[in-house]
Amino acid sequence: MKNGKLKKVILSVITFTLLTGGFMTYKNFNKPNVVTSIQANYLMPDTLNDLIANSNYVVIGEVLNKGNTFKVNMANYVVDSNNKPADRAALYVKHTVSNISITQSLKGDLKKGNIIEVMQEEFDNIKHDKSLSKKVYSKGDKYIFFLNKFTPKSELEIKDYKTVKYLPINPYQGEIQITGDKIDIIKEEFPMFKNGDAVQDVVTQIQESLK
Amino acid sequence: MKKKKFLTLGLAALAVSSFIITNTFAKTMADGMPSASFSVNDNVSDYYFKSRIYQGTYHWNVTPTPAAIGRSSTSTNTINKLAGGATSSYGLYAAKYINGSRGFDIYINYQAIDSLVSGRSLTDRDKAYESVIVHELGHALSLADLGFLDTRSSIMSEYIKRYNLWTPQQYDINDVNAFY
Repeated sequence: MKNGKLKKVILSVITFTLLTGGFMTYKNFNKPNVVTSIQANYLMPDTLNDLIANSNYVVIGEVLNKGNTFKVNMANYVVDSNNKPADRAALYVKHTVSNISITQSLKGDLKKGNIIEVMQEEFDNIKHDKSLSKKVYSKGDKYIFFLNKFTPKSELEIKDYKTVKYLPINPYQGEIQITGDKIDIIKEEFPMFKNGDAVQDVVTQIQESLK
Repeated sequence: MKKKKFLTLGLAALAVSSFIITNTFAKTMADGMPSASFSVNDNVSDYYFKSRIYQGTYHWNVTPTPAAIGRSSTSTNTINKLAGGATSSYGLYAAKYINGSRGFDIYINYQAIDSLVSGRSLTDRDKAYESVIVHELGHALSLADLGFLDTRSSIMSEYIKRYNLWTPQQYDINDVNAFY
């Protein structure tokens, strides 16, 4: 390649690099403060005793309707902070609320026939452990639920959540699906059970653990 | 003929530029911070929480890694006390872009942690808070959560009772050293 041509190539590369770099920098500076990914740290019990101990309610129930969804900005619940709110990016949790009819209560003061609102949580852009599943309830699904009660107290909570809700212990272990008379699980999520265990056997184990 | 040469030169320039740009910016595209040296905003009025942030950064800074986490009242990397709202998570690490740079917001769920340590000693409460902060700072140092049932001793483990492990372990140290 002649010197003149080589100069042209080099000049083209340099010009293009500078232009692209400049454009990327300009684009980045004009980006809104936005969350690009989320890592959530949950309590993940690996024994039946811990699973039950950390759930105030253990019930069997049937999903009456496919839930409706709404979003809440968790950044609104920050307290005691003197940093500028503008420095925090909005952090939305998407909730799905389903009505569940209780068919058997194993722990807690809920009774057969009670209808409760179970609220699932999901973050946009969350990085899930690949071995774990994330389910959304469908009408007619039957589950053994491991729940905690959430009562809105502050003005903001009442505005966001309105009424009492029940939250699964975490997005992975909050419920065990029942298919026929057997449980349907991913082994990695419930090491204390085997996929295909009889529901009655699981119930007996839970009752034994509660004694 | 001239057009063809011009097109070839243009394509070559594009390929070379793309290669340079991709490799220069690759690290900053990760969810963690591009450097192990950064600061967090500890401008909180709750002295207890501020002390836990101090301890959390200290636990990383004394490891034999490049981790150098400063504290500043002006940093846009925030650590926040979450009181209220409905989430079952203990802690959240939200990677973000702010003013064109990689940053993060960490949320520590007071209600969930206090519920975990209910009936336990004050020391256990301290450890649980520090453990969650150290875990979330681990994400800032580009560490991912350990898979559930992975039994290696790691601050990035999910199923541990948080008050039982509150400092970075050898596994975590090795990973930070490998990344930075």
